[in-house]
Amino acid sequence: MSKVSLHISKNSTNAIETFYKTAVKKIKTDSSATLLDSFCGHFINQDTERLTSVLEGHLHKKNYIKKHVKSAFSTAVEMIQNIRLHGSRIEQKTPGCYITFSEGSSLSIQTANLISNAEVPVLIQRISDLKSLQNTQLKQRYIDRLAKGSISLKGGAGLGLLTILSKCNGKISTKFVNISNEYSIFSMTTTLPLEHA
Amino acid sequence: MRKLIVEPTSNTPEITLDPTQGYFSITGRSFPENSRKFYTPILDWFDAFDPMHSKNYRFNFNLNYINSSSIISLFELLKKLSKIKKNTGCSFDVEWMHESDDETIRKIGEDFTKLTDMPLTLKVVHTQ
Repeated sequence: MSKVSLHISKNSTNAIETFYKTAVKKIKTDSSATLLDSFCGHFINQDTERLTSVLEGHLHKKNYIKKHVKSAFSTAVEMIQNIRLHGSRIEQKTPGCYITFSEGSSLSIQTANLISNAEVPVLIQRISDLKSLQNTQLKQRYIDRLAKGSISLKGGAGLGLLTILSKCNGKISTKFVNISNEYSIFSMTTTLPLEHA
Repeated sequence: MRKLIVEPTSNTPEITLDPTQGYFSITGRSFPENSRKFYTPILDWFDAFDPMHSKNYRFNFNLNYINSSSIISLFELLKKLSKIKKNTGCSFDVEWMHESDDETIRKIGEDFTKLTDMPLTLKVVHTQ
């Protein structure tokens, strides 16, 4: 490992960690928000199952409407798998973070990962395009994508973002933070309804 | 053709492909990280499947959670069944189970019916 790559790796991981700490601190100081779960580190395959099962267990225990629990679970799965499938890998590791918090009758799920700077304009355009669609258009886009029916070698199907947008009914915010000549942090926050049964 | 059984895990379904009994099923949750890798052995099994002419096979899908890439794999599987049916003269009764309040799973079944020529019978599964 060269000194240069070690430097890039450390800087990128530190940037994600700083981003995560700032986000968690903001939630903790907000009296109307309750932090449910959070994780920052290198994402591995088992993290999807581990983090979503914690979320599902928590929501079941609080007796929220089953439909809302399922939507939250589904959105969390897609968001975490997005990190694993599309997050930049540094020395074969995928740094990222995941935070869930409730606020009144809504649940927010926030994820962040690294992406190459070259991907930023493409992703901005894609999100902006999808967000501009009405529900019926979004559904049509989903059907068109499904009909094409292809899965990448990594396992991505191109339906993840469409699924996330449809679950949260367009309540999604994204943020891009440039951290170096090579990488930016891509953060996505979705807000979903959460009501007691 | 040998029977194939895939044991369930916390993120993959139980799969039974029993040609002798004429019964196939996929049950549980499906959110593997790489659905292509998970479903390829199933699709390959059907590539080698040699059905009896005019035999009626039953396929039961009883899934309570499906991630986006699994949807594509299941769609691929249904297209394969349709092709087998067309080429061999066998038939498939495909049941797509969903809980009464699970609009998502029901809609996936409806989408599959619209997009393939393999009609799915949507059935409500009662849970406690």
